[in-house]
Amino acid sequence: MPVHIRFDVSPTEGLPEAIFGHATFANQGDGPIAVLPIQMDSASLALEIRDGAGNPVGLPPPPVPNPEAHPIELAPGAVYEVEYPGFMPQWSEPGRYQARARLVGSDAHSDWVGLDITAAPPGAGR
Amino acid sequence: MTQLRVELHTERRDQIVPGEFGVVAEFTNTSDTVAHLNTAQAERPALALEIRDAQGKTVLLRPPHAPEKGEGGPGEPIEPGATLTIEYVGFLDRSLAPGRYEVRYFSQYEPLGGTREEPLAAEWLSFEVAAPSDKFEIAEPLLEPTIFIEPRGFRFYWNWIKRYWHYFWCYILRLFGRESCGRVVTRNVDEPRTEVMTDAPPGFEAWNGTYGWRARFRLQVDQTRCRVTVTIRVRLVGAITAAQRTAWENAIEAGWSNGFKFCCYCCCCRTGYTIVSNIEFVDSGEDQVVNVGNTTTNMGNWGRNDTTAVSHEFGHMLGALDEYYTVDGTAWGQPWQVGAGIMNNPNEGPLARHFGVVERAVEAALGTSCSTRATSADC
Repeated sequence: MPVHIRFDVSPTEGLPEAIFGHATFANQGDGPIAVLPIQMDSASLALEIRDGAGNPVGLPPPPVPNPEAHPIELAPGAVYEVEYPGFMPQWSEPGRYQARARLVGSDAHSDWVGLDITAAPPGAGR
Repeated sequence: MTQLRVELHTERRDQIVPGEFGVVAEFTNTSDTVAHLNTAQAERPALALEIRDAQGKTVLLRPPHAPEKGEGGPGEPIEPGATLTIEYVGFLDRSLAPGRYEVRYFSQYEPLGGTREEPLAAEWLSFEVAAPSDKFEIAEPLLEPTIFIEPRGFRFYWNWIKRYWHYFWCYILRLFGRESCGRVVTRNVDEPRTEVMTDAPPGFEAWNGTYGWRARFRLQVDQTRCRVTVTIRVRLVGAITAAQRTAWENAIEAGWSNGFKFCCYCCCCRTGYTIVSNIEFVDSGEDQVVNVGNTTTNMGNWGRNDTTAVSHEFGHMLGALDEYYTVDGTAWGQPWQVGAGIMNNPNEGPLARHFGVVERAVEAALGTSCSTRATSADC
């Protein structure tokens, strides 16, 4: 599946809720690609995260798949953009992480992007 | 915090024959010091296992053998990080009615790894008893040779005696002021949850994966009102109107409140503690952060106009797992089944098992065992 995925985070350092992810899924092939939008919209389905030791970081489960949802067609040359506000779990320990976007069902994934989670100030959340 | 963690495993969960069904309990010392487990006692299913049916009603096990000399004491040492396993086979009555049941390890006794304040409890493990069939050969139980002959009707009288002895004992305690039933216990719960989803059909393979989150809430057990209130404090990030927020609140609180109660083995609230769920939107001190967006994409990202999926996500916040495809080895089938409950079909309400994490927290708060039942059912 000729999909090119680009993934960025901004800022690259901060509290989990402050880290925004931004991905583009670009069809670089000659034919259309059918894909369920939720596969790209849900961080749980589209993102892979690992901690500083390389261990996978689990995200909460995705929503129950909607039986009425139909795949969209990504035409050749078309780009699907998604934002993932605060995609890092709020209970993430301070430290270095890496994240990337992927499209399950294909080999396509973005490069790993590094980010640093900082400690929450005392009294914030629990 | 108990030193031991216990997990139950089984090779087969569906269409099992009661007399042959077995589970393995795996005890792991998660502390930095040596823990103890009295395996002579822990090996006895009636002392260590709890079974409940689909309605949450306790299934009684055969009484244990009388203790033998030398079976007291703290038991075997388990080094930090070490694991010990105990296998239980043939503990279910062979006449157990077909249907879905759940089993777990549970003890609030120190020789068995728990305390009254912090019982040692495994996750409930569900299994389904097959309807009797000629093709099943009824095997003799492998454990617990039946030296206890149980005439028909004995269990009825035994339960009757136990119940009224309990009432009598409670009366004595209250008479002498040892049990006032005026306690209001509050505690914060924070429990890591994981689930492994498999068997998603073609087109939905993306759902296969390992997910992790934390169930966090404030629990209040109020004996004066016979009520358990679960409050999740949520801090919202993103734009939402007051009306949209109220719609979330109404949908969640109506769906997760007043339908179930906890029946606990204690002298107070003998008709049960009604479960009331509450979502509170806060600016700080939150249990969960929710990003507001156009659609609900997981537990931490809710659609501002969605009142269906968010109630399902609230279930995850309470610790409930998904119940579609295959989760942790249990095959639930397709999502959106009628009558399958909110963790399969977000259009529906919760089921008793969805309060499992809350139930454990109530047990820890009261120091006794509880079961979840419909509000209309007897305790």
